[in-house]
Amino acid sequence: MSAASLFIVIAVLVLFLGLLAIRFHVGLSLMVAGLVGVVLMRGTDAAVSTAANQPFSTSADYSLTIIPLFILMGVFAVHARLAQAGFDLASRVLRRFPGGAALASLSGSGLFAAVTGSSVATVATMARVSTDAIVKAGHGIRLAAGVVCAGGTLGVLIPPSIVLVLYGVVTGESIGELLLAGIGPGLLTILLYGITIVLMVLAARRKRARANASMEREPAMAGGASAPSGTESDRPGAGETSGEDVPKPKLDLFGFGLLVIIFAVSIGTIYLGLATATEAASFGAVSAFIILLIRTRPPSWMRAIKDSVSEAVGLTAMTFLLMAGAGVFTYFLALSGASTAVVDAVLAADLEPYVVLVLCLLLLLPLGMFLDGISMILVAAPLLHPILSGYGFEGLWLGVLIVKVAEMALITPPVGMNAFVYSGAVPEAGLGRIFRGIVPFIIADLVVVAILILVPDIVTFIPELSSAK
Amino acid sequence: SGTALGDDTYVLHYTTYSNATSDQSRTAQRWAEQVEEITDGGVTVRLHYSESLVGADESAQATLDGRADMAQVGSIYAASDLSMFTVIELPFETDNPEVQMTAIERLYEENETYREDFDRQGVRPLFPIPLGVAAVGLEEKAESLDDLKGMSIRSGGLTSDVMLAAGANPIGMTANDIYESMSRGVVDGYTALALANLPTFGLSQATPYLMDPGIGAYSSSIAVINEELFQSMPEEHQEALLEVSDQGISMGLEEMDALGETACQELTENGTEFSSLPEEEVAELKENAGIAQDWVERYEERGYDAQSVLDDYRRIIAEETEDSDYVSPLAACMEGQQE
Amino acid sequence: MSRISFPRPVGGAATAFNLAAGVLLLALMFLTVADVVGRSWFGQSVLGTVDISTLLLVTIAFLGLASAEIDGKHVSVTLVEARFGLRTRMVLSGIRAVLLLVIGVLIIWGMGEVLLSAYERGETTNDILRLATWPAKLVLFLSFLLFFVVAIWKEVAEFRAFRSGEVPEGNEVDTAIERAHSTAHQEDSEGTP
Ligand code: NA
Ligand code: NA
Repeated sequence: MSAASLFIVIAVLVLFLGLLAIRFHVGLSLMVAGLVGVVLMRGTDAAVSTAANQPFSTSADYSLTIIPLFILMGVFAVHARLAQAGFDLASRVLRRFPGGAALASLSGSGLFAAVTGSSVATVATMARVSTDAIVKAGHGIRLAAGVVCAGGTLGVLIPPSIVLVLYGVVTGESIGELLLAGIGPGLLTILLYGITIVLMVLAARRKRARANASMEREPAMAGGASAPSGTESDRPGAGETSGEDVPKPKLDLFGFGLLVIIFAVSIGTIYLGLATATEAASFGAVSAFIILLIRTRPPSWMRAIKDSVSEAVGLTAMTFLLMAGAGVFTYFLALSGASTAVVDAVLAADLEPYVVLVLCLLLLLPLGMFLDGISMILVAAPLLHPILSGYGFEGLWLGVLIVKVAEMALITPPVGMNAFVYSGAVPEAGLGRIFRGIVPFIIADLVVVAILILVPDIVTFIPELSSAK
Repeated sequence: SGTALGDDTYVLHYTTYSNATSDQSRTAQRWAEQVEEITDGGVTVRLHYSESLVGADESAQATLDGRADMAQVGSIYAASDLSMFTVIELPFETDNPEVQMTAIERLYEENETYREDFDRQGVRPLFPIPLGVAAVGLEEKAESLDDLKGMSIRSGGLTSDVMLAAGANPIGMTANDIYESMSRGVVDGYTALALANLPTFGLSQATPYLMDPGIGAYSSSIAVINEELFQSMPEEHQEALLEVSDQGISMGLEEMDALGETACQELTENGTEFSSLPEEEVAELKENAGIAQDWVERYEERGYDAQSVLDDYRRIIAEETEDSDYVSPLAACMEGQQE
Repeated sequence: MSRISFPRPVGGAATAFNLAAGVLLLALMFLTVADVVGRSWFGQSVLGTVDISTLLLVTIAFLGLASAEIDGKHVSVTLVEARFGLRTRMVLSGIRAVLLLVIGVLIIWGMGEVLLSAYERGETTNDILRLATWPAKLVLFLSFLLFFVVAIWKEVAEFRAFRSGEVPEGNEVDTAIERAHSTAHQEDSEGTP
């Protein structure tokens, strides 16, 4: 990369952060910054063409129909009060654990993400429901944001996973084995996220107990006196409750059963070989649609359908504007040769293999500021995979590690797609709180990555088991 | 457009939908290396794989409007931009990829309608890149048209029309989805892929039966450069580009053969059974499909002299077939099986 | 949520676009199901599902842009901006309005050219149905046009509010921030350690 390109890349990054700082739309900030870069590197014509073509090329992709359809399924389920039923039951079952509602929401996100394989769709779908349930159980929005954003990343490791398949395509690793290899690390991540939730809740509880002991009582705090009718201030004694003390939610077992049906339909069509993951989204949405009709009385049908669909359309537009912006930015990054240059610099330094590995993984984190998981794999895997396998690292293990870190990048501050989508769905959360809520899960992710590096068998043992047969 | 850097140094951005390890990309890599060597670093090429710069169906447009300098334009994505180039999409015309490649080049010299398409698009063809002979991968054994009937087969472009004519059920899906869809039984088989593509998509380990449906060399792609940019280059650079492009066909076939051989080995190790559709059934299928007539009609409606392009394509194929002893990787693999 | 009022035709168009996207989304859902059911049980899929679905997605993806803007669904970073004084925030609002205008003109102009070119070249999809792409590109053009009209209108209204010395009420993001502040203590006692 020439000095001129380096200067342009830095200028574009600064411009992007500046645009974010003045509260410009994130999607448009990506677009404007990327376009300025394109103008500097290739002139105005190329920039206008890029801007004008990007929305079409971003969305003209059959496999992305999964995004609006799973969003629609989620919104239908919410309007049919199914999600609530599911959370109530899961919270009841997990009541004994500290942070039961959060754990329930984690299982929900995990299940949903596993099926869709799309972080963004999962976050857009689960954000509202999970947040309401978690906040109702007496925890802060921060915890809810962390659980939902991190939970969304589970889906890339647990099959079906578009990202893992793409990794196989780009690098030539066996796709079937990659999919199997994702299972172990996926489960490990769920476990560590679960532990994180429990620790967070216990710590908060101890802190509160200490605070209560030291200053008896401070009534002004609990209500948030001037707050508008937010979820937290509606509840009596919001500040004092914790997972266990919450009055038992009224159970809607029928609703929970219907929820199970929706999941069974969308997963079942895949595993029975009826549909691809993309097509399964439609089955999930149709079953949720039918259930919505069953659960609402005939005169209010139209209203329920209209509200749900309208909400899904808005969330879809929000998501795709972000993706189109990221598309322009990706184009600029590819043009600049920045990623190639960084990798070359690492190679030139002549370091220990494991140091190179860690450096390469670290490189992914800033990339995730701008790109979704799929774009990141398309940009980074062809560069990193050959280099790292050249150092003798095992291909499958490398693939899972790179995909895991690429997905982590979606939740690391200052910019992470999942956090943005969450903030779109739960506007009262605020990005600062969202990222603060995510930090403990990033730590959990780092632990997962460290464990995977130390114990590679977690990745390879399931593929080996299946090939031993 | 273009990226002239003050002095006579050029950095060309080449966009392709193929991934970095495919035979198509390896061919482009070799081309790029030789150009850099011959021009003594005066022209360097930056390759952007897997649609990481622009999408497959935008590559011709992007080369015109300045988003890219060079592109690999797939015939399957060229219907609107290089319509006459899609004559080489037509199934059942030749089973010899070398002949098809030569025809792509000769048409540009010998047929005006074909050439005007490139001129209007503002791009210059540099060298064609082979895809190979269409194969049909199957979960269950099939040896005749009857066996194919009712099967759901992933296909694309004109092979969908062939599958339709064969009584099969053409399913559109990206190549990336085939592996999972095959193993789960979402589809019974796939086509619109050649032998050398199979390792790329993990399919050489997951194809119990492989059939030659007689479609032949059904598709391919062509590397193009923005004409204005090309004209702006110093003469010695232009000559260098053209000189290396003359080696394009042989480099492309070498890379395709190498990957085809790998695929053949993997298929053989995994016990894949080969078959081919009987000749009379292939003739019947060609007749039923009537794809060439449809193609001519579709483009004559739009004011193209498409018949002349088809006639010249067939004439060149006939001439070149006599001179070529090239054997496609699929044919070679199936011969090896019978021994 | 927004207290900014939009001219009746603009608001009406946004609602109509949202509604149209909703109908198309339901169509996409039923089309895919019909395709899979046909393929699995009747050995006959809906020809060209991929072609049709892809173009449907293009239209669905962006038709809701304007209504999402009216509802304040689009994402922005409020952290930094909210800390500035009223005057600075007014200036920043002006900058945003100008930026929206510039990028809007650029995109709309470019999309117009892309649309014309697609129409003139008879551009089609590349799968079996070879559907014309210009209708989808026309929808994209209109969606972005309406979006930028709404976004600029909203920004100008906000700028005026700042100039008259008030924090714009229609700004959901700001209310969110204030709510976040007012519950900050409570949040701290419950969130991360
Ligand atoms: Na998944
Ligand atoms: Na990030």
